[in-house]
Amino acid sequence: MLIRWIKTLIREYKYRKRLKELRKRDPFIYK
Amino acid sequence: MLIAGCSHAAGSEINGLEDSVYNRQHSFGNLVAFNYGYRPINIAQNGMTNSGITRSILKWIEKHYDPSKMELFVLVSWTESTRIEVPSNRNFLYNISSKAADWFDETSNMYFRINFGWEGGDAEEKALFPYYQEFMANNSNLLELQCINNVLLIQYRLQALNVKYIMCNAMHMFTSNNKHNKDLLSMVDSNRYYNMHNNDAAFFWKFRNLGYTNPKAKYWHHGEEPHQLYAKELCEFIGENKCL
Repeated sequence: MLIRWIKTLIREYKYRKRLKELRKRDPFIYK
Repeated sequence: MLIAGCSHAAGSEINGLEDSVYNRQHSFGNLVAFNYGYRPINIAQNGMTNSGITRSILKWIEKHYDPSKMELFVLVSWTESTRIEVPSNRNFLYNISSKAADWFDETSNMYFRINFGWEGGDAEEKALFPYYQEFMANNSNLLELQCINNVLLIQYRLQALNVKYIMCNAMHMFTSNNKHNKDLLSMVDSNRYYNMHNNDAAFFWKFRNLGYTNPKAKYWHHGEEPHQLYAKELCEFIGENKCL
């Protein structure tokens, strides 16, 4: 249970990091 | 001369406005057209995705191209490869934000446009966008492959029609020459594609990294000088590679 929770946390951390990079790559806002 | 692309090809915010005739006339694509004495037909749309750019070219050709009445030259300015379009039953009225386009591809209004900078406006968008943005972030290589397919589709369509063209990147396009995209990229004619592999040489990033800023712009789009300099680069590329 603990290992699964840690894996989820790591996956979420990696995704947030990637999202931050990609937001910098395409910051444009269109409404 | 047909000019297709995203906001950068539309000259967005050159004069501070999202779209205007002035911006289009001073955009790099129109400057290339003026240099060669062509009448620019700038169909670029703000917020456009690469699939939308592809479709806009195909639809314009379907509706307007008549080889007996015109000589056509095409400039395709590809945008950020991670942007996607999602089919929807809504009518998005994107024509309002691209009101100065010389022709507007109405099919654009049938798709959600999703990029990383915009989290959505209304409740539906705010609910949908995070789901798709997670997909985009986790599948950027898949999206790049789709972009290469778009490039090839336009390349072969224009070649089949015997229409001369050039392509360039306005933003980040291909991350790496990995084993999946390598086989497709080798089929792209690099003599008609300015700086295909160099993301740092893409229009927006090149001049951004050189320190150019446009005080009139709210959303970082470039001013007149980068457009002039890039148009000059494109003309030199056209001359060196005998694209015309």
